[in-house]
Amino acid sequence: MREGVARVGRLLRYIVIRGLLIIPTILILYTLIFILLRVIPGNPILSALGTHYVPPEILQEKMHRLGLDKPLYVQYFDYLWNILHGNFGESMVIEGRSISKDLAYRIPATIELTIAGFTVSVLLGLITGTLAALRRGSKIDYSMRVYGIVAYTLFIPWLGSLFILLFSVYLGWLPAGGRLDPSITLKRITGIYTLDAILTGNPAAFFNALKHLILPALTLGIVLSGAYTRLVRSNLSDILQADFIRAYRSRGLPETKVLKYALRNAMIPIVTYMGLQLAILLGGAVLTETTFSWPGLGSYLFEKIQYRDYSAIQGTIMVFAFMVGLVSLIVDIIYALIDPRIRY
Amino acid sequence: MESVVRLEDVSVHYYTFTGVVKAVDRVTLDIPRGEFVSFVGESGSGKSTLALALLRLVPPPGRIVSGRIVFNGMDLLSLPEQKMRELRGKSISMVFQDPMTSLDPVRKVGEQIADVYIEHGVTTDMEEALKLAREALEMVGIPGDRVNYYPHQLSGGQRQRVLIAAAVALKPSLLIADEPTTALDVIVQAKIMDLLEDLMKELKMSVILITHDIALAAERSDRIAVMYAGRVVEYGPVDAIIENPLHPYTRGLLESAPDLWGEKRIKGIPGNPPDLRNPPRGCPFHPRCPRRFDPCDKDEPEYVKVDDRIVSCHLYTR
Amino acid sequence: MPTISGVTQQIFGRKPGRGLLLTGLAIILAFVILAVFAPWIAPYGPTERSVPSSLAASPQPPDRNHIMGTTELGYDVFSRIVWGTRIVLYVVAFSAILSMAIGVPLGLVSGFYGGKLDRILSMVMDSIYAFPGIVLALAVASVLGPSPTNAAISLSVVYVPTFFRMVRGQVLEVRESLYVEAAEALGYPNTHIMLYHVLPNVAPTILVVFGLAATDAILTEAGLAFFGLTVSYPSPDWGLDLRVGLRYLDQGAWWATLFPGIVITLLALGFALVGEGLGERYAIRTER
Ligand SMILES: Nc1ncnc2c1ncn2[C@@H]1O[C@H](COP(=O)(O)OP(=O)(O)OP(=O)(O)O)[C@@H](O)[C@H]1O
Ligand SMILES: [Mg+2]
Repeated sequence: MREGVARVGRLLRYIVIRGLLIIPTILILYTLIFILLRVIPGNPILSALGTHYVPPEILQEKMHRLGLDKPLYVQYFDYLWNILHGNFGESMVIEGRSISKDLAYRIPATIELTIAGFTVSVLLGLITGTLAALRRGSKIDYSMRVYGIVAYTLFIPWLGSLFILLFSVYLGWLPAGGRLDPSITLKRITGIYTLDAILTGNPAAFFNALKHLILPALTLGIVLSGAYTRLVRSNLSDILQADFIRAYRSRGLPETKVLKYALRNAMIPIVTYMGLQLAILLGGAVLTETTFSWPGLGSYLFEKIQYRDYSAIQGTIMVFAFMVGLVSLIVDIIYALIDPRIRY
Repeated sequence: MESVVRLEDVSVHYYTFTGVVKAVDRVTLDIPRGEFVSFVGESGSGKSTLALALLRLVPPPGRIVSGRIVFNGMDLLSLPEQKMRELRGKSISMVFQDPMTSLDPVRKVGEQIADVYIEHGVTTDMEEALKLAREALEMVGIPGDRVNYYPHQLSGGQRQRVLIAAAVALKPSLLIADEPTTALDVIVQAKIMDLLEDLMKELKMSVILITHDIALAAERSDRIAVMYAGRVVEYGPVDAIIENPLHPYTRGLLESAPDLWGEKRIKGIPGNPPDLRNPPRGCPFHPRCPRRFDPCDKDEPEYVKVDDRIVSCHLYTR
Repeated sequence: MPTISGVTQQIFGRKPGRGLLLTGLAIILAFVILAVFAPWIAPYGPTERSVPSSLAASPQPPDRNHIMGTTELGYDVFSRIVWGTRIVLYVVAFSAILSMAIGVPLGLVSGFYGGKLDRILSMVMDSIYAFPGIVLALAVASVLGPSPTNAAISLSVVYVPTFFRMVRGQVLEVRESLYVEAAEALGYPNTHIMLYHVLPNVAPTILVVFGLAATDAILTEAGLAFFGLTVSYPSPDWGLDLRVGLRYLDQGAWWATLFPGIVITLLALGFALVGEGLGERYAIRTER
């Protein structure tokens, strides 16, 4: 019992230290983006307004409103202070439009998509990788290796367009875009629609949201699964050769159990990899959202790039940076929990 | 004399890209019940492969290509896999060479011992199985509370004890130990060997020890089987073999173990073991044999019985 | 210095990964040919209205004159793909060279000298590396404005850390090895050691990572094009054509997305196979 308490204490300490370590990462990205958007010559407002002529007074007023007339170092700390308080400023294009509100509305959609896509990719990767590892050198192994390479090289909007063509245009089974049919009402709680539907006990909305989620999640999941296929294949086939697996067999454990323990060992490096994969997952989500008109951060970024709304672009990128930091922290914690050899 | 296991003409081949490796070649012998039998031979002579064949765990690309392995009256090679699995860990157990890698690093050692009780139907309750695991640990001289330790928290010697505990948990009638002490330091080695001997008496097991240390084999065993290039070239009671080795290879091995024969100078055996993909014609030892004569490079020697020994050498074929 | 026959031996010799390597190289070569000989291969110009104006209002399916069909403006899809190859290869090659030219020397120096500079550089590079590449490239490209050269610069921002991390890691390993220690003991200057002892040893890994980074870069380039950040429509670029084609998907105009997508994936596959083949040959395992 006392040991349990000590363990939790040590784990908390570990989490705090790991948490502190992501601060420099986020600061570096913040600085980089700041330099990129504010320091590089060229007036962002002017480019945001396009090539139209803007009277100098109006420009001056706008610059003042957005705080762009202050010295750069003041802008740097002001903006940092603001975003730490959840205030991402105001749109450069639509006057008075709060970026924080936009982002808050879009974040849950991206979370829903990435979690679904992640789940699909891990499941697919585990199945294909395990099949390959169990039949090393066979035709199955060969096809899974090919799958592992090809899946990674698929261009997301292309795969998405093939799915839309097949399942929406020809078969008419699944919607080609959006998150929910307009005819369906759903009370927004978390903004993750499938979850909200469950929380409010609304099966119609749940199945509708799920229907909208299937194609985007499948697209994202397949493309990301290739890396897992290869990783599971190589890790698992190494582990299956390990002495302790032979020892398990020598004690009469059935093959299903042996495979279970082998997978548990093979998962450890794969969890680390999930952290690295996160960047690819979020990047893939941006393209997936744009393809399926999924109203998340990615399609937001797409819109704002079309309008050159730099304050919105900056805000979106900072949200991505926070998400990367947060999830890599979570991965670290999971890693510490599943590998008893990690000291914390 | 009743035997616990009897090998008849057992051959194991590895089908590699570069050719067929005859790792075990037509081995025939009897292991008497309750005895301690050592298999000795140079690296690559097929000792481990033979041990794995007894459990039918030869890894691909290896295959048991012929023969019979009779254990308690059953031919293991014709048992269905399910039946064979039930024997593993219950009637025939094995302890491996490297205790550092033979335990699952992410599971507690207690759980790994408890597996045996659950898989072989002793109990279905994990708590109960862990209690039994505790007792098994104590039997091999490790405090019972170590069930909650992960392998990396134990020393090499302790890990080997854990593996032995898991192997003898169900009191098997045959324990195979494949170089169980090679990875350990000398003092620990002796203790582990003592433990094996004690357990053997206590649980009335037969033990097969695999080693390339003929001195160790001589000290501990009732019988010795000498392997060369996949063949058992000589097999018999330990005293007879030490006093009067029949096969020139056995003699060579003994001469290279100085403390056994009190020789001043270690004499090695000149030359190297043959390539098992392409063994020499006739007796596989003939290129290195100091006493080779006419038939050695032409005909393969049959097994001959000399007193209570068997030997495969032309010196005794007529 | 490697000789010509040495190099051909390296590539075509009967060694592991030969099939993968040759297939990959063949794919890449095919696209290079398309780019170089575009005017002779493409039946139409990239923005030539190649159908009678009566039909030009909607995309037309493939027929004898247009093997991959036409777009809504009457452009020949096949011709646009051929011409688009030039843009894609330009952006990817430029960015690959640029990110290697920056990432490799930085990684060499940082890993070789260590110290404070190394720690700061590593931290910056790791932070960028952990960030979604396409998002970063989109941000940079949107600031710089849409053009192939700007797209290439944006891609380099993403891939400099890839080369930096890999080279630095390798240098740390090679540094410990005997020949570098021997060279140091013999009193060779650091630049000499780096160029003649460290660099040749990390070269195979650089090549493997190059294959993988190029795969990634092609997909990211297509992403930039998809967002309209490489060229402005109606200039041809595969990713952009794909996005324009998406609008006509619900009319069943599959050819306007299918073909541009196939070439993106095919070219990416070409580089992936090269990376894979080299990895197998030199038994190099990478993160991706
Ligand atoms: N998985 C395998 N694939 C191919 N050949 C193998 C394999 N395992 C063993 N061999 C070959 O079979 C022969 C016998 O090997 P084995 O491991 O049984 O020898 P050993 O007597 O136990 O040697 P050691 O003392 O080194 O453990 C050797 O020639 C070896 O190269
Ligand atoms: Mg062995």
